[in-house]
Amino acid sequence: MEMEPDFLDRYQRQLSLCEVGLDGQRALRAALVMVVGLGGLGCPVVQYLAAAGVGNFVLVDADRVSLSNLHRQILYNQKDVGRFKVEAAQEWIQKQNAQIKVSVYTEMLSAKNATAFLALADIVVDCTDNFAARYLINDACALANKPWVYGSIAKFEGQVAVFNALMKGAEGENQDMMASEVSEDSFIRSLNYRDVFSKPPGEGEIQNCAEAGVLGALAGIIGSFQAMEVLKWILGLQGLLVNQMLTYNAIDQSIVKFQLDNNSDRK
Amino acid sequence: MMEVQLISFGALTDITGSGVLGFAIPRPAISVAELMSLLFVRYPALEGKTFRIAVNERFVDEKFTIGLGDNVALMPPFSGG
Repeated sequence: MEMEPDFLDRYQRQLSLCEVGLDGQRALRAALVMVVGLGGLGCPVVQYLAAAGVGNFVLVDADRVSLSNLHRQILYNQKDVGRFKVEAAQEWIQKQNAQIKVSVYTEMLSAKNATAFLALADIVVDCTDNFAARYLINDACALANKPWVYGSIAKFEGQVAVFNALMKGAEGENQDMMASEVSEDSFIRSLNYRDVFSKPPGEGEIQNCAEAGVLGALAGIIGSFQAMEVLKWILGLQGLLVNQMLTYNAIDQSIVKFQLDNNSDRK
Repeated sequence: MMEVQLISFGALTDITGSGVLGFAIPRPAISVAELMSLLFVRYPALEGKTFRIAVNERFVDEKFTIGLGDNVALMPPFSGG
């Protein structure tokens, strides 16, 4: 894939990182990231990935921007109220960099369309706000052999993890790579969302942002964590949040990482 | 006093309280399943709630043995985005 004509200037501040360099920047340009949900988490995810030079996006969300979104969905402004979120996000990305390819779908992810959408993506970012969508993403990514980056928030806390990522087998170090570079026989997939929570909770048990309330900065923090994991995955960096879940608490600014084993509670 | 260090996350702090709490256990080693039963006695509102138990920052299953002084976390899923 051709680089943007101005890429040496545009990305100079990150090209100088040995973890990025020209090869890394090319990998970012070639990557196709699917973002499901363009709300509180989706906005910082899209903003930081587009700014870093991810070359291709698929954006999926049926919602339109409403006034009550503006306190935390910072990609949108007052003029966007009433527009489809994915279209406003597409416009933002194109203004940032006209060379980025963006496909938008003004529909919710469903069992009918998930397989087709996922086939397009290298990696999926879960920025949804309900359990049905998260389990759908989990199950569809498991079937399609795609890695995905989970993020969720509740009041002043958040969770982040990378699920179903390809990793070296037990003998090797944990190092994930773009699927095109690996052969399956020496690699295994990391654990997934059902290895943490095997079934969704009952209706109404866990409140969403509309019910519990949230400050926008929390969505910014957790969305930024998700964006960083996507960048690490594309660049093949160490320390991916695989087989673990990061939890964040904004009140005491604490982070705790919980390890996942194959001792799941799957029944 | 034989205790584990209990900490809840998310809305479970509304039931157990926030911060690290000492939670009494009857013997120096008990299974997660037994701890859950004790938790439901002490905090009846926990019963029926969805959460995983993590011991010393590792998610475990019901058969896992918890020891004195272990950190026990109650972790629910979060929904918001």
